[in-house]
Amino acid sequence: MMSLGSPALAAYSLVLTSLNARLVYHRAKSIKHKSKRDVAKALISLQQTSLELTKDERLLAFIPVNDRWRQEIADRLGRRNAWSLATGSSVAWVVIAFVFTLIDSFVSLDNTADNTSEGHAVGTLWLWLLCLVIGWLWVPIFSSSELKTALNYANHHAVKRAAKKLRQAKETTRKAMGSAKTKLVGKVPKRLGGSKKPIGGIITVVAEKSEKGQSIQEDTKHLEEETNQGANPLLNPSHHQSVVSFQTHPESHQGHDHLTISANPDANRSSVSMARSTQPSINPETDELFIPQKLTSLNRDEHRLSATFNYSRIMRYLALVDDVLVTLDKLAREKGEVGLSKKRLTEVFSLILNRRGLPLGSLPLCPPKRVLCSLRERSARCSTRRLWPSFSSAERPLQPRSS
Amino acid sequence: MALVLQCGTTAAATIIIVFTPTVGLGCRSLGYIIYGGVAIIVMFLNIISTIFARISETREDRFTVVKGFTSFIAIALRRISFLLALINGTALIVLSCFQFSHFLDNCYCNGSVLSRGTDSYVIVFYNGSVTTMRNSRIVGTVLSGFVMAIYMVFLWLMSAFNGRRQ
Repeated sequence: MMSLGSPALAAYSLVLTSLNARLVYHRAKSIKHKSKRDVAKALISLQQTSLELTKDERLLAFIPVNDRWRQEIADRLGRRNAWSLATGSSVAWVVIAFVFTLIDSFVSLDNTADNTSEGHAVGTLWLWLLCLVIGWLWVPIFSSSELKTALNYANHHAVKRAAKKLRQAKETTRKAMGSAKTKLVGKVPKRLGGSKKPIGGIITVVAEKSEKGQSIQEDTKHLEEETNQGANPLLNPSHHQSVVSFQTHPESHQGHDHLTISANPDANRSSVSMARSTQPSINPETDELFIPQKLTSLNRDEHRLSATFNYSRIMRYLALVDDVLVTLDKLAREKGEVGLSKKRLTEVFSLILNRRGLPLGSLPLCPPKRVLCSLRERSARCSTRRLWPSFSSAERPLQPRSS
Repeated sequence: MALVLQCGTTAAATIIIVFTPTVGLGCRSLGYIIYGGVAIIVMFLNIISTIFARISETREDRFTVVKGFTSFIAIALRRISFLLALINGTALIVLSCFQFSHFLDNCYCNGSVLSRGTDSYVIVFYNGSVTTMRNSRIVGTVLSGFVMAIYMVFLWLMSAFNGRRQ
């Protein structure tokens, strides 16, 4: 209705979308990071959702699962609206109809009794619609329904893979530690601090109560059962049941994987329960990430999952593109200097899809600051207590290029 | 570009109507012009609203007055423009329906009374030259086609080298 009321606005959105895609593509070209393609693709294709950078770096993850997650999302995003027989034939049909109208209009000029120009005029008046339809087919964006599917799909697989990984890690621990398992309970942060290697991240998949979230919840339940059977030392049964947390011993496993998968039917409660059950990694502030605050009427248009409203997202989008790409660039450079492993170098952005009961996935692509700082400075700032430093919501997680 | 597309198609339609006898600004052409105008107004209102929303969002919390004021403007503009767009879209459909159902086929409209005033007339039997009409129609068609072509070529140039070749 909005585009009907103001074709100019829709056309403006279309042009913006196209220009944004071009901008992202050209800026990403200069970056030497292995995942720049996926990131650029995601940035281009997700223009019609309200993207936000997560401000909570505790939720950033860089375990391999997330590489996969991102890859799958990117794969799915690759399939975009394109010309099909149906769209092609309808466009052709419109064009043919309009040509007939034109012919009729010119032929009837001589027939003075039946001389109206109405068909012609009205046809011309509606011509912008044709332009917009073709234009939206060209622009590589992603329809919102497909976005949901893609997210579901990727979440599903991420959870599966996480389960697999968890099993493997469990095996390793069992072999290495034997009866010493129980001693680990409650002492995780200190143990972790002893190790000089950076510690793994967290994958958090939150499934809301929607129908779409069901598969994830089932998966997680499955995972949970398995974990319970295996007598995971860190899984404290008194805590919330839907949260699974696992940690391998520092010496027994190279690098550490801290895996948290939570599926909670009650999204509001999830953060609290997660905070209780997992130790330093997540606290109630995670609420911030999953429940978008900007649902006040100020940004209402931005949260609409329709491409016509792209115009309202332009400011936020440009800032986001800048943040993400600058971070990527920085990461690529630092990778050369410090020599971090590839798996740990990823960037961040999280999708916040709002109020539709969509599965919310944090798409974590950036190493938490502490990884970098532990390697570079190893100062007191990176001590165990600050494994997951808290950031105020006002603070920006990523520095823009100017600073 | 958006403006070009909008103005182009609307202007083409208007030209065709205006130069169809009786020559002059009538109900239909005025409707078209209003439609195009409101569409453009809506667009600018929305853009301004976006800018204000961004200003309000990015200011620090201590500027309460600025934040409140800008957010008020943004919300107000957005609502107004949404209302306008709603009305405008309905008007477009209604206008088209009226035209095809010959609702506007009355003396007042056919005589282009709006612009011609007392000088208006209604054609009973047209015997004159059709050159003006033909020219106007050709001009209208060419104009709209040209505008569409410009818009599409622009889009094509802009999008040809981004997503596809990655």
